[in-house]
Amino acid sequence: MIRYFRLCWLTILVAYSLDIHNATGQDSIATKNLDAVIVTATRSERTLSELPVPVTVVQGEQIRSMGSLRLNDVLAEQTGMAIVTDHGTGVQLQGFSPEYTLILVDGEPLIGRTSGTLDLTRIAVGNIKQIEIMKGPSSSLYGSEALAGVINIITDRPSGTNGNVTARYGTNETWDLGGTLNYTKSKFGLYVFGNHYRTGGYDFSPEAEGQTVSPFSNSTFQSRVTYGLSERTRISLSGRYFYEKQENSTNVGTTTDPVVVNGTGDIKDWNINPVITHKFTDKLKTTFRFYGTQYSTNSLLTYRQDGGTYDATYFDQTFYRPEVQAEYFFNERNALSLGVGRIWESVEATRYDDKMKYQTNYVYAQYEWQPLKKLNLLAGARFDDHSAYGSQVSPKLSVQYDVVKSLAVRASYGKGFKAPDFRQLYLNFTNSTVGYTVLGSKTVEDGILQLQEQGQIQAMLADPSTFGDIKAESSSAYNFGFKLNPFQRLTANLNFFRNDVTDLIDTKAVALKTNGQQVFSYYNIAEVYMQGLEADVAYVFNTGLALSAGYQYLDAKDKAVVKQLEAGTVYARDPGTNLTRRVTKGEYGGLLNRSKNMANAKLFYEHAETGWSATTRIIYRGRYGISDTNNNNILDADSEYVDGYATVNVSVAKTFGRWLRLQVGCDNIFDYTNKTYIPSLPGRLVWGSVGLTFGGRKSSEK
Amino acid sequence: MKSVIRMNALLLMSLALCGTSCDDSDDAAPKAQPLKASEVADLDATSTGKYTFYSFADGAVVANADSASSKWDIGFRGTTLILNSGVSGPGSASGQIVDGIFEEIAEAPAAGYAQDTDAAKAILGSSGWYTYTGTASVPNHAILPNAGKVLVLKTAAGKYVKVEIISYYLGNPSTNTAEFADLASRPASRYYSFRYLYQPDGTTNLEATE
Repeated sequence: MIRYFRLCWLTILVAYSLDIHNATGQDSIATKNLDAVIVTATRSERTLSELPVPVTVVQGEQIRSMGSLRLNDVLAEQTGMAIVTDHGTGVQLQGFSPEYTLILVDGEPLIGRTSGTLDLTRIAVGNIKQIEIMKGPSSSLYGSEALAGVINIITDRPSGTNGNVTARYGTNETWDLGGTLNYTKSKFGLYVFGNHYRTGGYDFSPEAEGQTVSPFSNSTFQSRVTYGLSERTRISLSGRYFYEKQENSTNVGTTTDPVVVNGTGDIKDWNINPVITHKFTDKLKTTFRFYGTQYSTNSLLTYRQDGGTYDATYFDQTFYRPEVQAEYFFNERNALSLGVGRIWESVEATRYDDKMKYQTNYVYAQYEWQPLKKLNLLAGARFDDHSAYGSQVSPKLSVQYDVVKSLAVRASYGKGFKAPDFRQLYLNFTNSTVGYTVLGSKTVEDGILQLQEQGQIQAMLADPSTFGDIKAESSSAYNFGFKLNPFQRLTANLNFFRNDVTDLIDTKAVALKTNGQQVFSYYNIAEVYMQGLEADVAYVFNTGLALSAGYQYLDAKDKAVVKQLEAGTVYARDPGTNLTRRVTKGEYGGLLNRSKNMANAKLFYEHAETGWSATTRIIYRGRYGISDTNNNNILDADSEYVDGYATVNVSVAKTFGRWLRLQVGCDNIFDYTNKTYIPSLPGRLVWGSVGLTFGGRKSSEK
Repeated sequence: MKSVIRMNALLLMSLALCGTSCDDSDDAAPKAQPLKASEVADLDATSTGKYTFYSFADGAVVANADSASSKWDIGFRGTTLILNSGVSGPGSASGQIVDGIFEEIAEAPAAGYAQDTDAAKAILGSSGWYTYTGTASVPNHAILPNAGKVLVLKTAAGKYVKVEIISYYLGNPSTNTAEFADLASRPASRYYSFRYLYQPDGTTNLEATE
């Protein structure tokens, strides 16, 4: 196995000037995936087939055939992932809310979660080489937020000397213009990517002021410079800039007495990432990385009538991280990787008095061992020491055993954690209309003292010695699965997972105010579990036609509710007689917004000789609970669910030689909408795009 | 033939007479009265000024003229419930809300009863016996009695009774139909349907016997 590490290292060196994934349709998608080189599982290049960890790879070519524009469009079609809208468009992975999945670009985290969700519409897909999705807790390498898993977006590297321009127009006045530029000369490589996206949004309730999705536009600019200083040293510098502008209007009064408020908002984020890799000897390789990024938003709401300010908010976050990683290959069967780094993070926002700053020191280690030819082990652990709350140790162990050539068995155990965010630590907010107060765990002690001095506290409801005692949310997960490859045309993956999540942070009343309202603070309260199974199958009919299908079954429940149901203390009114009855454990539907069943089926066709290609994809999302309507605070009655639904997306493309590509597509061709409960699902979207490629040939083509 | 029938009839009559007059065994122990719940449908609480009073011992509405007496136990007006106690009346009623299923509450709790005061009624409405849905969930603007909440009261005379409020609407309609959700077709409100089990012997036993 270790042989492959070195081979891959060389392959990557060569791949910097080649474009290995842009082969013709001869390679099936199935075999391409098995041979894919991924970096997410070990923070360095490995071939997928050797890893004891299940990683899903979405190739850039597949993204282009789908005609996706933003990252949420791509992830919506992957097995076991649902796109949810909650203060932004985020991805739900194995039943976890979006704040528990780490989104990386080239191994570095994207920041800017104002309320936990990272908005995936910020990420354009025109420069993506591949997306690596690793499910299961991965804090042993990546630290906080890698509870559900990690989604690593690998961007294109400089390759040959060429350029490409694409223009697309579709329903809802949606424009997308993008271009890439590649320039390589001996040891030097340059890659530039630009994208401009704008949409008019759409409106499901024309009679109400404002649109369901307001118009917005954004621009992305990303570039990378690589330089091969010597055979042993490589330098790469990449940077990204993103800007988005949005306008909307809402009625904050009533229908009879409207008060219209106009809003403008903008989002800016940039990052810079220099990386130096140096091979001291054939066995020792080191990487020095620095990552600096800033995210800021500004929002201003003014009254339409007189221009007076209704609300002005801002949010500013910075993140700086230097890291050193060393890999030592003892021999073909043993490799050790060590990393150490420090993070400086700051957040400044409306409603927070001071600029919040924290630092984290971390160290991680990973050992890859192949004791037998058929047995592969990967063990790792990471220690995080955060300045504002307790330290964290995250271990992970993965094992793969190749029973026979066509069957491998995999198992893993890992822990993940999510640090308390700036709201849970520093919030100091009083709702002026209702009168309640919310204090973060670091501000609660002083906040209560202040309120007591002002004579606003009537009674204490919690023990003051518990103030400030907040821990990270954590989860332990077990995964067990099979990897089948009975013949070259067919690959299948089956994975069982169980996540036990503890110390989920939620608010709890700590004191009673004299005005009758309460003071809340954040505590580690809840415990939930997510378990289920995931299956993926890929079959290649012949060169150019491939079918893939996936299915996920999910059972996600709150442990406290399960205990209450077992104790028989959860009731509901029978809708026929209106009399109280006991709710049984079997009636509990679990956590809201999670589907028990999700499935997808995709067909990809490519005919290299004539240049035609087409895709058809069906995505099914089973019914999910939306709210409690029979007021027993749990999901049980049928009326509390939103119906399951399927969307069908198709696309057709024709390439003329190497220089012109025309593509048309239709997303949601059956125009499924649920305007009341799923406002984020637009109806049918029809689009067409033109792509021009110019410049010198890429080295991989004849 | 006729004479035989007449004879038999006479015999039967005399036997019957004997049977009914032979009541020595009955005097030894009086038979316990079967305890079962009573249902009240559509008690009118629509008046905005006056309460509709009810007596559990009598199982009937009490006239407003008797408001200053101990004849009534509980009063209904809109969503407010008052007990004949404290600031609401001269009686010594009291009550509390207990979690559970009506049929399963076999024993009234020993303590925890409250009387009506200026600050709060003994039986709280919102976050007590009902939830007002507002616009938070469908059906909108509805008063829905909370599941698993049973009122355990001491009447003005100190007897125990358990009460479950079933509906706030005329005719005890089903609350998850489209007809109910539509405010135009929803039945009139402020009509109480409830059931109660009254224990006349003064003990805390609230278990139904049939």
